[in-house]
Amino acid sequence: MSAEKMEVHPTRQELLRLKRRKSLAEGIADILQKDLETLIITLIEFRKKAHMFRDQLFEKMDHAYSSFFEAEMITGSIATKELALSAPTIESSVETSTTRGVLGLPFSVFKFVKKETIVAKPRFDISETPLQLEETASKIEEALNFIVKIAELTATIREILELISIKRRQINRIRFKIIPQLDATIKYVELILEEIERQDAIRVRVLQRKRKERSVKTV
Amino acid sequence: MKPLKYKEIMPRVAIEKLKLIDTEDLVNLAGKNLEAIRCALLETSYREDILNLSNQEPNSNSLEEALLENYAQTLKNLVKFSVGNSKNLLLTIIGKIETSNIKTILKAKKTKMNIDEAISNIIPVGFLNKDRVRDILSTSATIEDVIEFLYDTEYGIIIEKALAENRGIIDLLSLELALDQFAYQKIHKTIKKLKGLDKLITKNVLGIEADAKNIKVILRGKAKKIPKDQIKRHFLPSFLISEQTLSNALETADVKTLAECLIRAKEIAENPFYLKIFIEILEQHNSPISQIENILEKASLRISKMMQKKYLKYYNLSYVLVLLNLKWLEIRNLRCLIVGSKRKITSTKVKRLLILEKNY
Repeated sequence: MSAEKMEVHPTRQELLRLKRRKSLAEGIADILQKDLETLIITLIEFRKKAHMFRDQLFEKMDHAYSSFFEAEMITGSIATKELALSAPTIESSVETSTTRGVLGLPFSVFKFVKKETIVAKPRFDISETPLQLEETASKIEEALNFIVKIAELTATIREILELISIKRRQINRIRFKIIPQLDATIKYVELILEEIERQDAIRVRVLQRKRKERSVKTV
Repeated sequence: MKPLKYKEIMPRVAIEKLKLIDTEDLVNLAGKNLEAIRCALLETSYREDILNLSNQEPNSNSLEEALLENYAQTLKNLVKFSVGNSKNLLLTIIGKIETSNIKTILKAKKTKMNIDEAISNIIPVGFLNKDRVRDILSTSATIEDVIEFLYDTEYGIIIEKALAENRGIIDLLSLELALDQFAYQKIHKTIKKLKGLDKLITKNVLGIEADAKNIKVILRGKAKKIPKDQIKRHFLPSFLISEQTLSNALETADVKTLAECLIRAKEIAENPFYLKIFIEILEQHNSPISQIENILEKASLRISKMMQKKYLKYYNLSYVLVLLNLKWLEIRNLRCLIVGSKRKITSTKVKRLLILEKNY
């Protein structure tokens, strides 16, 4: 695909300006490429972290479910359901903030906050509740922390991916649009200038020949 | 010991004991599907109860309901054939089940549970039969309405008192605690009225139940870092372990020092049955809390069996208490098998959760 040339005056000054623009564009493309590589490395790191957290979440949930089933086996399904549903709910929220990350990018920070009651009271009737049910509750609480962390990482990964696609578009625009356009224009200007030079040389030669002929006649 | 007062209950106890499922048969059911378990149960004393619920689709909940129904029936039979103090004691034990039923109703209303589901978790013995529970749950809109229904029973005063202490705010945990404390106070009073060997046996067997629960409260409370005054509030009336010993146990740092503190206590040091339980806890102090709790849960059955062995020559209440403990254990194990089958748990894991008599 041949790039369209720009509308420029085919002058030497313009040629120099175009060449300067081309080297600047190449410089920008290199910087953007480095940014892109940094972003990809960060993305891989975050992905690894997210994967690790997801594994830990699955582990916690697995543990929670197996404890819950054990509790059900000890006290019966309906009794466990009653105990679980009648326990006071934990007041909690997710606090959000931002922090400067790689390339000064604002990254979201999520924090699971459990509202502590003034007096620590047991959540369950200790004498009736199997230990496994309490274990389930604490594992689920830990799992909630991982869910929030994974949400934070997912938000960051999404932001990095968005930036990567922007950077990639910018690099592509420079590499496959601006630089070929500049190349085409430079080539065009150089051709025109070469043509002018050739015409000038012919004109000089013609003038020299005419001057020679005139001097022969006068002699 | 007058054998006369046991002349009717002892054969009944023997019959009920024969009806218990063999441990080996029970273990063989681990990992089997629900239909296989149901078929196996149809060959046992649970047959009638399962068939009575056959209008429902046979599922784990209906099987669990049949088990509780059977337990209630066993208790009713024992009450029917008992006289005097043994009858009083059985009625007090039924009172403990009644409080458990009240707690179930309160929780069911709080959680807006399906009425049928809530009823299936009731042990239909005492003043709360299934029809009454259905009536209470269907006509009451809120937990306050349920409490209103209970005001004309002996539990009304307890609930009223607990509400007054909580400035009228309904805190389910406080209500449940008050009911439990009341049930054990009643048992305490009944034991006081008994004499001789019966008193000794019931004090030890039923006493360890409450005392073990108190130790469990200490263990859990400390693990959850609950303030000591809050833990103390959850204590049930102590039977053999004095309040001072419980307070001392509360000050200990870990399971080892707790067990040592209990073993050192005069009342435990002088009681070989209690001592055996706490020595076992001391030996297993490095095990997880669930293991320690398991020892405490099995304590009542262990002591009742020890009593039965020791006083083999005489007629006494230990036979009745051993049967009740074994029956409850069987129901607990069957429930474990049923839920395990429903949740498709491996047979190894199910077997691990079974409490087997062989282990004693």
